[in-house]
Amino acid sequence: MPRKPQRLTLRIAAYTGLVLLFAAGAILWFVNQRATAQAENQAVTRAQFIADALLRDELSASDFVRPATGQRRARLDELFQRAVHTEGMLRMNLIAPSGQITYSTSPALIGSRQPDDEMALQPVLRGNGVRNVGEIEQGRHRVKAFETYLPVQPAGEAPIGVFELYQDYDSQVTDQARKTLYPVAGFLALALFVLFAALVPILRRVTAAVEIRNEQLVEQAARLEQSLAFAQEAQMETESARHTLSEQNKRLVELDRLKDEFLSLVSHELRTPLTSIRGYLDLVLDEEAGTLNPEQRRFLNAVERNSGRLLRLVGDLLFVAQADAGRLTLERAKVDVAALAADCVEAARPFADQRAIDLQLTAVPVPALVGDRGRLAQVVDNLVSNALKFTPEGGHVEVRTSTIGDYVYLEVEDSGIGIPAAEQPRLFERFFRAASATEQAIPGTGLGLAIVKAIVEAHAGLIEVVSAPGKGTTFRVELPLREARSAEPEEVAA
Amino acid sequence: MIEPAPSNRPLVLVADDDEDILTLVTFRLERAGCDVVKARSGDEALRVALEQVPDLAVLDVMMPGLDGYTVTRELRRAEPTSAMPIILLTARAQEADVARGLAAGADEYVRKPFDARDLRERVERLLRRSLAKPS
Repeated sequence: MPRKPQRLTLRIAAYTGLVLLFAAGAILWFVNQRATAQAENQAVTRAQFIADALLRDELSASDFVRPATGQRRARLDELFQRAVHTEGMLRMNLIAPSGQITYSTSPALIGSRQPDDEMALQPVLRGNGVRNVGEIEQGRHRVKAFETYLPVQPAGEAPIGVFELYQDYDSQVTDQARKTLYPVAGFLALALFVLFAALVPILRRVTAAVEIRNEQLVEQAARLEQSLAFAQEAQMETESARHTLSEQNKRLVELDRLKDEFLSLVSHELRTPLTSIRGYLDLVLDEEAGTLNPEQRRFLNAVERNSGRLLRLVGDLLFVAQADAGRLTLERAKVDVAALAADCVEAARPFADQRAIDLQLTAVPVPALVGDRGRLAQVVDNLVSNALKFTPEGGHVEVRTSTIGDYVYLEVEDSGIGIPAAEQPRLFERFFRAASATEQAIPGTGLGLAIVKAIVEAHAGLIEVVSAPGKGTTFRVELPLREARSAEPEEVAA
Repeated sequence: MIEPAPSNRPLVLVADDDEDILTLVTFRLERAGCDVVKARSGDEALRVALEQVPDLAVLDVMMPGLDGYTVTRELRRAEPTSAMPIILLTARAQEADVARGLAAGADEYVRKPFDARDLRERVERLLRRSLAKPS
């Protein structure tokens, strides 16, 4: 972490430096342009001064007619030599309006014509100076020269010829310009250096902050990437789980269908032979096939009783299976639970009397609730017959009804053998039989309480048991008067 | 089978694919004072019913070929049997089955195993009701 901000700072410092240098270059270029232009103007002024000083009174129109010779040439040499040997002067020419060089400080040129001169002549002859940058031969070198063409004109008259002056460009223009440029450049360099030096600590701080933010972003990105990977993984797992679930669902739907078919089959296949058994048994018991002696009748009654048990078992199995499939259908009507309890107690009384059990009913009138009368009767029947079965001779069984708030309560209390706490949680499971029931050979299939629970729950009710071995058992059923907790629509189909 | 001699005993069609139950129901109905014509499948039941136009039909639901529901619907559609009392006799005991049977047009739905007295009472009641009307 400490190295990276250093590198970033350097980079930003380098960029800033480059920008500053570029700006400095631009400024210097601009200053140079201006300084050069100024130096050129000075060179023109110098040429004008020389022309005025040298020529004004010395030259006559005859000097611009033909190349100077003899005495006149010697005079002109004398006149020009001093000037041409001053610092920065290269050459001076006098040019006739025709373009012929009538005199030159370079003797070889006298009498010749310079093609580039001719182009400059016209504006000059009209009275305007012309400047030009070119190169000329000076000894064995070619030298960059600043040329000035100036008209030669006596006061108040038209120009009679042209004075051409070559100055050394480097010394007269470039060097002059540099005299202006160098201090500016130096000052600029100093200013930029100070500026840069001042910027560096600021840059450091800024880049440190940027770097920290940057690192945070990088970390964030890494975290995001990781969580994205997790999410993708999770999605894949979800997808595969969904697939598995869908497969399982298909299998369950198939199993459910098979179960339905099986139930239908069991229902039909077991009931059909039972129909024949009980039908023909009835025929015999009705003495349609001849008179029965008492012993025959007693034996056939045993057959009848047991075929009845078998039939009830088939019915119970079918009922529990339907309840399991959530397809328990209720035929709803107004039901008076107290009256129902009274009926059941009356029906059970012969069996209670036979076993010398004191069967009592404490039925407080309760409001009618909406439910399936037959199924609720089955609940009371099952509970009462259980109580009677598990209560020894001479004991007592009490059936009570009551109402509290929006609920109707049905209680069946016995002074029977009781149920150990360990067995109570499994009491409502299908085919569960208490150990005592098996030991004492009390008849039953283990379906009765499962059916009771299924019916109570189909009515959105609850069932609970309070029991202790040797002290008896109380089953308590709570049924809501208003079925807020139940779903109604399934019965509509039936 | 010999065509039974005309009598004033009501004619009842009994259809069941189980021979024992067919015999049992037939015996009970004959004891109750009815003439019985038997059918062992849905197709046969439909044919016999349309040929002989019995006074009442006791039909099993689960039969090979046409089932009891279908036979009931067909009989209701046919003009001569459209008002004939029909009792469905079945081991299928779910409420949905009862509803389906009544929707098909059956008058009664009796679950197997049936009580002989209950069946006789239902048959007699339906016959009284239908014979009271001029047909």
